[in-house]
Amino acid sequence: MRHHIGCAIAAAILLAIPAYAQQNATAAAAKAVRTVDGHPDLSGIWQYSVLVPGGGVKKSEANGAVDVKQIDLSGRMPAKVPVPGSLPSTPTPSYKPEFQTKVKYLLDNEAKLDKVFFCGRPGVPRLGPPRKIIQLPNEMIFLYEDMSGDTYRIVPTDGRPHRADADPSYNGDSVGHWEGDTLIVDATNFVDDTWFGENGYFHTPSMHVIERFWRVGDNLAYQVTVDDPNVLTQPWTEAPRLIKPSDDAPQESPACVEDDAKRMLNLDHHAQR
Amino acid sequence: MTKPFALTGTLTQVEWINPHIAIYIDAKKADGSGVENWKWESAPPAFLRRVGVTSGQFKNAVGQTVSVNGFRAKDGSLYGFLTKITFADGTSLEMVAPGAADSR
Repeated sequence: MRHHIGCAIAAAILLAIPAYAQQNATAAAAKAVRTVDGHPDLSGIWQYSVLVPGGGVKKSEANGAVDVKQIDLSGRMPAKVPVPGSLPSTPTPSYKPEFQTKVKYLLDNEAKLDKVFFCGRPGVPRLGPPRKIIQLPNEMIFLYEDMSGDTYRIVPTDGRPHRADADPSYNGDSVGHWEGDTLIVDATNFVDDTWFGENGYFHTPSMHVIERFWRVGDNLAYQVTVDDPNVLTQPWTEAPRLIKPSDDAPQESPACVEDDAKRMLNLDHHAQR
Repeated sequence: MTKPFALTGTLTQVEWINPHIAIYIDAKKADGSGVENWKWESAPPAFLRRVGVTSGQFKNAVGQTVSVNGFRAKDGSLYGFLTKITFADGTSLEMVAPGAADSR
């Protein structure tokens, strides 16, 4: 019972979108393409937004010609400009004092303990925004491209409640609804062996995730709020991201076979340490 | 992996896999007593695809002589992290830091 009450309170807090945010989102989406039912159309292919090392590749030809291409990671990073319709955010989640040592331990040892480094599934919300969205009248289809495998989500938007019979999963059980021009996706029922962020952000099966999707011009705005009343002092809303439209169609990700961790002699991975 | 390392040999195999691609190179042993097969890992396929590098560029070079630069594993195994490869035709691909000139 205590769990249910906690969830209800968390849901009430999470769903209380400030009026100004909603108004701004409506203004931003005013010119966006809409579906026949009047909602902004979120369908399309969106920029690859998985965290990979930055930088690029310099290609040099035998004749001396040089071409440098850098990867665009902007979709994985907090937006660099104000995002109309976004909620106030904080850089890091607020863990209860008794769990802060654990978070630091996980962060300090992430090269050994972060399952995503070892081809583990990131799960929602670490999975990030979809690579492709198919918007249907009563459901949203989210397609993802991830190193651990290309997962998907089917998010009903017909008003049904969360499933009562679903097993805990990496992406959780999701239901969606529209609040003005913002799609709200509410996900619960997660397995507890994922982190909701790179920095050791562990959670319990009580994690509750709300993702907000809306259009800002040609871009898809994406913002995540995470709550887990077992370990956090309050819900954590991350900085909004702006995801660019893309003509880079999703492709099946190659198999993931991690081979270098066994050679690691320290905790350095991708030179973070 | 902190020690810059260079190697020249025959590209024998390409694995276009996550989380890092891998290539294998037969190179002469330092003492000249034969060849040994090295493994070199590099960036994720998704990264390379988005900076214009394809698996074909590597796979088409199997059997050819290539030169690689990178960092050898500290554990002394025949393993390294690839930062640059120069193919037999003189073209090269080199990992560059964020912010390096973008000619697009």
